[in-house]
Amino acid sequence: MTASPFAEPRIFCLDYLLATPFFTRTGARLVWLLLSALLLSGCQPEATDDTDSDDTLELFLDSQAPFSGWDEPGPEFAILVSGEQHGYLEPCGCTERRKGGLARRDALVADLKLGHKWPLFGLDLGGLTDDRMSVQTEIKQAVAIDAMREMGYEAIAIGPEEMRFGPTHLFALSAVEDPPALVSANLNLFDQQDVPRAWRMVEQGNRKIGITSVYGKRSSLKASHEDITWKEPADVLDSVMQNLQQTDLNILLSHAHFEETEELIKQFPQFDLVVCTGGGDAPATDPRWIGNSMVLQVGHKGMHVGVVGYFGDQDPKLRYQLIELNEAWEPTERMQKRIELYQDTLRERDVISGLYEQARSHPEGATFVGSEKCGSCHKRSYRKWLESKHSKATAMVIKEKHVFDPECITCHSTGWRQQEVLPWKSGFQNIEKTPHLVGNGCENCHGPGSLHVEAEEAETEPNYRNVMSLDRQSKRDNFCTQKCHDLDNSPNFDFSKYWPQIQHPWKD
Amino acid sequence: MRNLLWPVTVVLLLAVLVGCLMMFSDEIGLVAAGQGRTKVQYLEDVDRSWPELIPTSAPQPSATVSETTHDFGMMDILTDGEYSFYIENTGTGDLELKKGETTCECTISSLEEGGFVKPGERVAVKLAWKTKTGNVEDYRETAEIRTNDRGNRTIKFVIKGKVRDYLMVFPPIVAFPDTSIETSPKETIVIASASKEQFNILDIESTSPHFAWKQNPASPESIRKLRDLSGYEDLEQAWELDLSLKEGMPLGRFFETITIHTNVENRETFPLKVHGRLTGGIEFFGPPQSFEQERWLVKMESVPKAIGKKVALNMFVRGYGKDIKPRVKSKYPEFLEVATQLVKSSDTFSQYRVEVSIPPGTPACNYIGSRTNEQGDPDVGRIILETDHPKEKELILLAAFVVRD
Repeated sequence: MTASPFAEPRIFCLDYLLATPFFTRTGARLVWLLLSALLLSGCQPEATDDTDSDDTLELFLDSQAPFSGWDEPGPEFAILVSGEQHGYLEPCGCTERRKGGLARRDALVADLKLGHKWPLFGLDLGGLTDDRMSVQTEIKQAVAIDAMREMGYEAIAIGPEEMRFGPTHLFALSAVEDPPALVSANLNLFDQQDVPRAWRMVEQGNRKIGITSVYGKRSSLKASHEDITWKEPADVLDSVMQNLQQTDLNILLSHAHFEETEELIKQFPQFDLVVCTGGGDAPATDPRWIGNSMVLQVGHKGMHVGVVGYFGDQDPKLRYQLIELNEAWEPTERMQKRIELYQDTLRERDVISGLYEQARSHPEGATFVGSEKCGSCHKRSYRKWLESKHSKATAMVIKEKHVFDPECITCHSTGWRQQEVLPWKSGFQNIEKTPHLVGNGCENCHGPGSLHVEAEEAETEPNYRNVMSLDRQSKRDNFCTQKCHDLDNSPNFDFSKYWPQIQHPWKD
Repeated sequence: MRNLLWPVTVVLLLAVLVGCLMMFSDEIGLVAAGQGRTKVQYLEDVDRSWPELIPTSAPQPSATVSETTHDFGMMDILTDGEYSFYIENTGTGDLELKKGETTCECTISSLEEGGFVKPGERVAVKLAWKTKTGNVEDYRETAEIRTNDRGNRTIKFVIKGKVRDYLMVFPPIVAFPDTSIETSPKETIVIASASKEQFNILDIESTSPHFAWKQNPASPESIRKLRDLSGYEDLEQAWELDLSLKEGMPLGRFFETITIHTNVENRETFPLKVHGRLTGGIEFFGPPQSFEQERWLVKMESVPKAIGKKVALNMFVRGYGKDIKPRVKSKYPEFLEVATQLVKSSDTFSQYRVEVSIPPGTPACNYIGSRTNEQGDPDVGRIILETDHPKEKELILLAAFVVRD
C-alpha cells in the first residue's frame, strides 16, 4: 500500500518516510552505494612493499620505547627521580620544543602505576624553584610540593634555591609530617637536632630503602645562612650510615656536582644509587658507575626525569631509564587542575600588585604612555604593530588564563623589566587599571614615552624629540634575546626572519 | 524488506559517525584541554622527519661514525662553539640523512635536507652551540641525525663540557630571607677571576640607597679556600665585598641590584641581584598550606563542627635575648583558642610554638572573609598577642575559616 504524501503529515512515521520519493528504490540504492563506498574505503588491504614488515619505522620506534625488557618480570618497585626543576611547573618554553611540566610527569606516574602496575615512589634532588625571592616563588614551591605529594614522592633534598628561602621557612617545611620529607645529612637549622632529618627509611613490600642527601661545597658557595650549619658531607655520612645498615637499598641525593659526588661515593661505596646535579639540557641516557654505585643526572627544568627499577635478586639489581617529558606524554587532568589552581592563587593573592609595591621608576625619568598614544603621531608604525603578534601578546595570555602570572606578563605586556620579571612603576598592572599597556608595545624597545610626548605636544625640549629612536646596535638579535626572545621561550629565534615582521622604518 | 531498510540505514550511518569520532577523539580531547599542538600532530611531525627505508632487495646503506661525543673541556661564557662530526657510508646503497631533534643551545648548521651520501663517501655534520646560559657546571647538548640505515636509524651527537664565566661571584644571588634589621644583616660577596691580568673593581652602583659596602682584596688563604670549595683550581684573584643593610630600610620584600664595574673584558659590568625580605624582630612561620606569611593569616578553611581544627605555628624572635612572654590580649571570635610555648632560647634568638584552634562543637559560622565587617575589612578571625618585646608590643594574627555542620 502506498501512503499518500498529502495525508496527515506524520514526519517520523516509517510508512510515510518509506513512501516518499527519497525512499524509492533509486534513492535506497544510492544510499546503499554511498554507505558501501564509505565502509569499503576503510577496508583496503594494506599496500605491501618489500621493505620487510620487521623494519618499519613503527617497529623501530617501539624498540626504542621506554622500559623495553622490564616487564619480564617487572621490577619489585620503581623510583621516580627528578631534580633542579628551577621553577618550571609547566613545560619549559612558551611555544616550541616544550618539555617537562608536572602534568606530563604525572602522566608518566600514571603509566608506571596503572599501566605497568609497578609500585612507585619519588625522590627529588632539590632546586625546585627559580632564583627570585618573590611571593610567586613561594607559591610555586608549595604547589610543587603538593604535586609531588600527590605523585607519591618520599623525600626532597635541599639545594641553593631552597636555602634562599631562609632557615625559618625551611624549618616550617621540615615540620610538615606528610611526605615528601625534607632530608639533609649535613645541614642543620638553628642547631636543632635532626632538623631537617638526616635520613629517611621507606618500605616497599618487604624491602627497606634508606635515603639521605648532602649539600655540596659549591652549593654552599651559592647560598648559605648564618642560622644554617653546613658540615663537610664526608664528616657526617658515617653516622648516617650507622642507621642505614639493615637496608636493601641505599640512596644518596647529592646536591653537588659530579666530581665532588664521585669523591664521596669512593668513601661511601654503600650507596647503591646516587643522584647528583648536572646533565644540563640533555642528561646522559645511561647511568655512570662508580664501583657498584649507579650515578644519575637528570638535567634541569624538569624536562627529564629518571626511572630506576629495583629488580631485587636479579642481575642487574637496578635498571635505569631516562624519560624526556615531551608532547607524547598527555597531561593528566588532576595535575592540570593543580596548575589552574596555581594560576587562581596568583590571581587571588594579586601577586602582580604585590610586585608593583616594590616597583622602581624608570631611570630615564619618563612613564609609559601606551602604544595607542604613540600611534596618534606614528600612524604607519602603529598600524604595523597592530598587525604584528606583539600587539596580541596580552590577548594570548588571557586566552591561556595566565594573565595574572608575572612570568608571562613580563613579556606579554608593556612596561616591565622582562628578564627580572618586575614591573616599572608605570608599567602594566592589569587590564582594568592599565588597559593602554596591553600588548608587547612600542615602549618595551623604545623606552617610556611620556617625556617625548610632552616635548612633541608642547614643541619644547628638542632632546626628547629624538630620544626614542633606536640605533643600529639595537636592531640585532641580542637586543631581542636579552629581553623576551631568550632561549627558554624562543629557542628558534632568528633575527633575520623575525625582524621583517615588525620592521617599521618610518617616522610616521 | 522495505521495513528494514530505514533502520539498517540509520544504524550504518551511526556506525560511520562513531568511527570518525573515534579516529579523531585524541585530537578533540587534547584540543579541548587547550594544549595547542596535539599528540597526533606531534607524532605526525616525528614520522615525517624519518628517511624512508630502501627495499631489502636493493643495496643497503651503512652509516658509520668514529665518534659521537665531543668534550670541549672548558669554554668561556658568551662564546660560540663549532665542531664537525663525520658520517661515512660504508654500505652499498645511498645513505639518506635527515635532521632530528636538537636541544635548545645546539643547532645542526651543515646538513642539506634530502641529501644523499654515496657509498664510500662521508659527510660532515657540523654542530654549532652557544654558551649563553651561564651554566657553569655541566654543559651538555645533543643533536640527532636520522638515517635510512636499518641497523643505525638514529645517531645522537653529544657536545659537552663546562662553561665558565669571566667573573665568578659567590653567592651569585645575594639573599636576605626573612631578615630582621635588628640583627645588622650583612653578607660577604666574593668576586673572583681566573685572569692573570690584574683585575680591579672600578665602581659599584646600587639601586637601593640602603646598602653599604666595604671592598677588600681577598687574602691568599681565602683564595685557596675558594679554589677548594668551588673546584676552580685556576682562580687567581678575588675581591671581597662586605654588604650590609642600613637602618631605615623599609620592611617587606625587596628586589635590588648591585652593578659591579670591572676592568675584565666582556664583563665590564656585572649585575648582582640582591633580594630579600626585611621583617621586624618577630616572624611567624607555618605549613604553607595553612599559613600565609605575607599577612600572618592562618588558613583553617573548612572546619567540621564535630572535629574542630588546630594549626601550629612557629614564632621566631631575633635580636633580643629575653623571653618576650607572648600572651593573648584579645580574640575575635571569642571561641578561638590560642596557646603559646617557649621552645628554645639563646642570646640572640628565641623560638615559640603558637597553636591556634577551633574547638570541637563550635557552632557553624563564617569567618572566611567573604563578608566585610563594620570597618569595611574582610570579616576574618583576629588574634592579638601582647609581648614584652621592647618594640613589637602587639602581634596580630588573622584566621580565615568556615565552621560547617
